Amino acid sequence: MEQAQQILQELEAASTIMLASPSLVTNDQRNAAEAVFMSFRKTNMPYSICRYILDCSKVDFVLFETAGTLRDALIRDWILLSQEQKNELRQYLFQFIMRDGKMAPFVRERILQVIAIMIKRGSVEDGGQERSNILDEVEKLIFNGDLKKQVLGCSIILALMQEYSTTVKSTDVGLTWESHYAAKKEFEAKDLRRIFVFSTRALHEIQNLPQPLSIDIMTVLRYLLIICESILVWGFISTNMPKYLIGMFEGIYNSENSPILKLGSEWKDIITNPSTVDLYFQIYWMVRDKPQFSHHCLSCLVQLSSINGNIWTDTNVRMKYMTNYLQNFIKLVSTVKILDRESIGISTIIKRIISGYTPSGFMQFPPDIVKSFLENTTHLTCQFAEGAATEENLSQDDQMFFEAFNNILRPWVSIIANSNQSFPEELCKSASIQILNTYLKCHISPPNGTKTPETEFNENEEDDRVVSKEQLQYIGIFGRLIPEHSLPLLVTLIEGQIKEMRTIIEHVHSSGSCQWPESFQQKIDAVNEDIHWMFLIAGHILTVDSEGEPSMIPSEIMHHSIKQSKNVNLDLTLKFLTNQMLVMDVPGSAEAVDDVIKLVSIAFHLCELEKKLIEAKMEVLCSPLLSGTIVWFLREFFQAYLMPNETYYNDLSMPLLQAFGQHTEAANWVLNYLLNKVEHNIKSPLYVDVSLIGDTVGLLMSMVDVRHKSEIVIKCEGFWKLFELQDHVRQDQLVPEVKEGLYKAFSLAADAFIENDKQKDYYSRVFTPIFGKFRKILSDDNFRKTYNNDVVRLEIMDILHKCIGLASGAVINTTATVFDMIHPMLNDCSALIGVYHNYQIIVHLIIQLFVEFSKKMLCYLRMEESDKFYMSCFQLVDMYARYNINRVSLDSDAEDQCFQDLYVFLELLTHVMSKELLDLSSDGKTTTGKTAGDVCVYGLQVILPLMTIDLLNIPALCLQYYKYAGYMCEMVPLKLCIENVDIFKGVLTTIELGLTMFGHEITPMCTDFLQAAASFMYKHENPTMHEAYSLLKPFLKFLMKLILSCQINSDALSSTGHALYSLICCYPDEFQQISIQLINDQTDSSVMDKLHNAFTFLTTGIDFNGQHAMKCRFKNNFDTFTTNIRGFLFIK
Amino acid sequence: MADIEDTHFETGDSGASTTYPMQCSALRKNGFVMLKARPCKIVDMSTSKTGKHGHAKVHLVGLDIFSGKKYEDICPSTHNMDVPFVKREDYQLTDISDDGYLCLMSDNGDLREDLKIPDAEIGQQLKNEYDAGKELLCTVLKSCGEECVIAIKTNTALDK
Repeated sequence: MEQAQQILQELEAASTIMLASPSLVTNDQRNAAEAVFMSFRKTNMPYSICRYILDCSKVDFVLFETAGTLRDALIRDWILLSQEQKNELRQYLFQFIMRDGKMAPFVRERILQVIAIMIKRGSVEDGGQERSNILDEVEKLIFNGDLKKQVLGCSIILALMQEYSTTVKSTDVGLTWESHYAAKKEFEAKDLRRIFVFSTRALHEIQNLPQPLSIDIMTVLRYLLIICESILVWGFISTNMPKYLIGMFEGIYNSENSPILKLGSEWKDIITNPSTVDLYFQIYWMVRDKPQFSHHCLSCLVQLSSINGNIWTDTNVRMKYMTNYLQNFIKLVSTVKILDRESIGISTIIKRIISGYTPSGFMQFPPDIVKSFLENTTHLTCQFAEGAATEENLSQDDQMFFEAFNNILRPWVSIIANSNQSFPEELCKSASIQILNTYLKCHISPPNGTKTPETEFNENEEDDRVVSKEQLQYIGIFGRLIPEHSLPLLVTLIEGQIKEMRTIIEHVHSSGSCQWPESFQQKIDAVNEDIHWMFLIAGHILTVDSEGEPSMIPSEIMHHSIKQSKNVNLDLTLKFLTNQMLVMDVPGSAEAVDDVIKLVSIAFHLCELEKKLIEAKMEVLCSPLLSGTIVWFLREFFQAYLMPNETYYNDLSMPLLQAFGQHTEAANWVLNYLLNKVEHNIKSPLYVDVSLIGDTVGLLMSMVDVRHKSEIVIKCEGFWKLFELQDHVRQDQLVPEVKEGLYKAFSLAADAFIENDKQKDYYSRVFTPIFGKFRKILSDDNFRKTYNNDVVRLEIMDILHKCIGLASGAVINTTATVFDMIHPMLNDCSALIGVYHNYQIIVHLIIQLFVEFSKKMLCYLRMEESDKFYMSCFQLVDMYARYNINRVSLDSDAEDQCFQDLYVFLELLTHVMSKELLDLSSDGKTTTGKTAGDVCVYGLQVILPLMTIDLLNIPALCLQYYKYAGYMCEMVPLKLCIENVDIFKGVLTTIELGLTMFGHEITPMCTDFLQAAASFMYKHENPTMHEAYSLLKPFLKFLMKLILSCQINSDALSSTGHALYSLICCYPDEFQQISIQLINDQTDSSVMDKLHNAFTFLTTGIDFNGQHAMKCRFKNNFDTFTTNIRGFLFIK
Repeated sequence: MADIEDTHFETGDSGASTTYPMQCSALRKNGFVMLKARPCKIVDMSTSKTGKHGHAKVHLVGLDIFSGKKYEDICPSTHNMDVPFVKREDYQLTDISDDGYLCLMSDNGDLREDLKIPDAEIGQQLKNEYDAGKELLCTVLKSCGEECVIAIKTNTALDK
């Protein structure tokens, strides 16, 4: 007792220091106080001391820590304690929390947790018998006790559910994952339903009480709602699910994402009773305005909206249940205005209802309910769209309506896809019109829209095209359902804005000044912004993001065009297009011109307007953003509409065919127009905008991407004008991305030539000028002197950019030609790395060229060509090493340079290595020459001396390096471990560091490396003959020590198990010795015994024969082993 | 860097321009630019706009290639910036004079004795290794009429 008293005093003194403000105690004092608690935690058999402290102390912090100590001890000593001891302790804790009404909540939670752990642990042994008795008691508390007891009862249930609900992350209760899992399943089957039933009953009773409810009752209500919510989001997991998926299931606890509720038949009575659903809706009405309540209740409603599983054996029962649910739901959403905090839950309910039934399923609901549901969904969609726009206008951080809007759009895909079957078409069309109109209104300024000018411009905001991509795709679906409404509307609105623009230009022109007030600038911005958004919407209606598939004219648009063509005047339509006319300028054209062509013509018109403004030096009126959006629109249009493959379509519209069809004059005209646009953009002063560069290069790239189109493109005058562009434009104006982009496009275009000769002719036309310049510079007798001239250096850089572009545009069909052309340069390049070693920018470009080469072409290269490439790589590596080893630099960014060099070098080697894995060349691999692996090992030799710890501390480089090392050991172990043992030695040094020094992401890469090396050595003939065998040996001990000192993070444990297995295969005797030594190192004899048993268990039933099945079995033992040793190695 | 002005007058290339213009948007990280009349290496470059539909401005951060001092500038992307010509040449170290000047020999055998030992640690290392009889290669950085030794490398057998 005296000892307990003393400990109590120590703890209370320490807690005073811990809780004191930082100004009053020193760091050392605080550390010392912390140590007191740490050591208290590890007390052996602390039960009577803990009880003494709980009874006597009044300090909450000490009580909290004591409960923690108790918890750790119980987990540890569970098997050692008798049943009576345990029962008595649990009774004591129960009484303890009942006794003290004023206990701090965090102490109470902690004690409840201890009780829950005891109950769970006990249930593993008695199959849940004791728990059932306890639940009986709790149920009595909830129905008969006073309010405090009711709250206590609820808290116990919650603590229990918490303990049972997760299995994946709960190794700390001293059970293996399997036992946790079994306990969860047992609890789920036996008691979960019962808890739900009596909680629901308790909710009923509360609902019947006279309103308003007292605060105490509200507290109970809140607890009950949390309990019911936890049950309804419970991860009911099927037995066959893999562990990592279970982890994902258990990790999700919110209404939008929680897995759909899956219930067994035993739940039928309580769930299908209509009063249950009624009850939750009624409670929701009651608590709707109280966020801390309504959230839990809404989660319940979300889960109840979508139930799966054996509960539904009878479809009628399900339909009846759902009809009742829908009626309740419609009543709710049609009566009240949904708040932002409710919107996500409500949209999730709609999403789940729609996805929960097949179209034919929906047809079985009463039609008036379906109609009403759809109308309300339409209304909510519009409301959320408006809410999202308001949030954006106010730059709110919380964007709940935005999220809800995205959410509610999703079910519309299947609604619209099934219009005319389960959903009336007229209803869908009218919904589409409403939603499209609302969306448009939200994104354009008054008088047509409601958007207010942006108050603050946020630099970091992503492009609208990216942020609103999903929304726009859905809006496109609505728009295509009603093209006769959407397309003319957009034409009218955009032309209206162009009219505005004309007024602005006139005004600026007549005032003769480019200075104007802020309000005028706002007007300009508003016009640009409106056109920008309307083209985003138009682009998404006219085309569908095809993601890899060839883009096509959507059938809805085709049908609309066909329908319209009866009234269309073909001649006028073509004239309209090629003269970039507008409907407002040509009377009578509204009916006589095809709608698609009207929009394309507007886009061209805007391009012309931009050109004129630039010529008039009025480019301040242009928006680079809008310019980019137009280019994007043209690209989407080009891919889907221009020169379509006619065999893909059942019906074709005459106007579209005449304007854009293959081999038509008009299509050729459009093609040249687009190429001129690219050229114009490159020369335009707006072009400095980075995203506009990307869009323009993207347009060009897409034009040469499809063979039948690029065949025609390369015959266009505009294409060759682009090629000559480099000679006309000042060199300082063409940014590197443009050079590389242009040449990539030139290279891609070559795929159009199937015949080898023609391809070669084409390439030499593209390549000869570059190569000529390159030769001229290098063969100059004075090159040794002139190389350092600035002009020469700029020229070399220019050439390298172009070659990088060419290499990156190589495809399977053109690789051989590109290789023949560029390869002679590669050797010169590796020599150039020596000449220009003082110019990092050139060194980088050269390595970058090699990277592109290996990335795009190596896998298609034939053996002979690969050999040539490898030789160039060797030279490159050599030359780089020669100038960088033993070098000390004063450059202020020397380390950064080193980092960049090594990073791109590793990138190169990693790509080269992929040839070992992926070789698509048609001739075999039997070769006497060098392989990719040789290059890689050799490269590593150069990299190792340059790789310092400081550099490895840079995360990006560290990751790249260890990835590469692991990759290599996996792919070419023979070359690394046996044939280049010196390099292997160097790598092992870094592996040793990596196991502990660079964090959780790197550790598993190092253990994977060891695993690969060890299993290779084990399978190799006479492994002991090789030095690698003895080099690898120390890692067995190193790894075992790390495991025993728990220095390996749980995420890395899985790969550690495999590595350990392979190492034991190699060194079985050492393993025995090390385990004995580790056991003998322990001072406590009981720990020695436990550790001995643990080691015995680890190897039970395992043959160390290197086979996969054994490795997996070992891995299971190893998991238990680590759980096990954690239980006894960390106490005093 | 000692005696900037001295070196400037002694080695200024007569008449030849020390910089050339380049459109701001064509500058890139790791390239060079004149910031506050100093030759700098660009270590960071970002663009910003005045508004959603505004035109881009380029924000440049550079380190003085001689002193390592940081400079920043912002400029409309259509404007031109001056880019310094930056040369780096290797010389063989043949002697160190008593007053701390290096005797350097270029590839074509020309000798020069107008550069001092660098101030920083590298200077001491240079001296030590030279005294230890090692063959040393010095990289001389030259831009805007300024020059200094920026890197040294012990000559290994590989180079021969």
